[in-house]
Amino acid sequence: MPVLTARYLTNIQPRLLSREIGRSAMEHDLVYVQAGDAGFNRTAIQTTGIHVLTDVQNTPKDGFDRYCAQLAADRGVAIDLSVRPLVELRDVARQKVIRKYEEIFTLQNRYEFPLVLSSHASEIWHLKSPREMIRLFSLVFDDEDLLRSSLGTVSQVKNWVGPVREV
Amino acid sequence: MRLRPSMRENFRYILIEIVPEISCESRDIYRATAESVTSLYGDSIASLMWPSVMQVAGSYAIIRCRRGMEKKLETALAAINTIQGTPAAVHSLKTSGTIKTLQESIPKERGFRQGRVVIAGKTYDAVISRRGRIDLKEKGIYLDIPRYITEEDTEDLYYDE
Repeated sequence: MPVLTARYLTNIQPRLLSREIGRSAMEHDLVYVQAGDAGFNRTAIQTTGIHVLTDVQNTPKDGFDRYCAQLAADRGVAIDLSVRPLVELRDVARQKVIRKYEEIFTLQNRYEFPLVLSSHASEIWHLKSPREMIRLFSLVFDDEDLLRSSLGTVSQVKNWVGPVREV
Repeated sequence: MRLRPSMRENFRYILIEIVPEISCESRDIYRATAESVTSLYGDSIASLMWPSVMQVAGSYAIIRCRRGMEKKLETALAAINTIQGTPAAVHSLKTSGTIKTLQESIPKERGFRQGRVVIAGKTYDAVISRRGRIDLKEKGIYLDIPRYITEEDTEDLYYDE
């Protein structure tokens, strides 16, 4: 099984995105960028070299809207959904995350941008098997085939080829 | 009241593994399971599920639920993050209609032993599981020393127990 390295850019200013992503692309296979408000997300998705937009559940309301979804689909940028908030949060906090994930799945169903499901594990007890990941995400979305295929999206995002254009 | 066999409730049994290996009783596992089921699905589903811990063997346990609710129970088990205040994960390994099938799936060799490991001339305390995995203890770890060791590395290690 190939192991890919990635750089996770958090709290970065939009004007520094290109420089940081260019630097990261030299050293790592993938570049993850933490999502912010709608303006930041649009800029981030349109920046060349970004592979995955992560922490979308923490964005403000309409932080990831249908325009961002369209851009992500056109440019092959994946949206990362973590299983960790579903496990660690309780009550209203978890309900908000489930509602946010539901919105993202609805947009994915419409615009078909790539999804990445991850455990975001930093300890051994954070690790989840594919079966458990599918079970937990099936709280939000019923389509098990999409969930199963989303577990292997990372390698596709890395080698994404854009749509064929007539020249 | 004794029911006819056709009228008895059908159950499903789930074999789980608790990671990391912590010493816990069946009531601790039950409390964690019940809390997870209730917070995830609410009291109405929890009352229909009838979860109960049938057997605990080391880090493995068998949990029973009503037939048809096993997927929901597996989801709730995956959402457990602490058992009696200790961070832990519960992995569901197998689902079956009988306890016997699951008992046969429980690995016979369990437990671990303490030892010492010498890496690059320095000695560290280690926990060696009977399945051959070695975990270095937190104490004495430096940044340049690997925390988890593969089977190939174990051939080069010198054990001083």
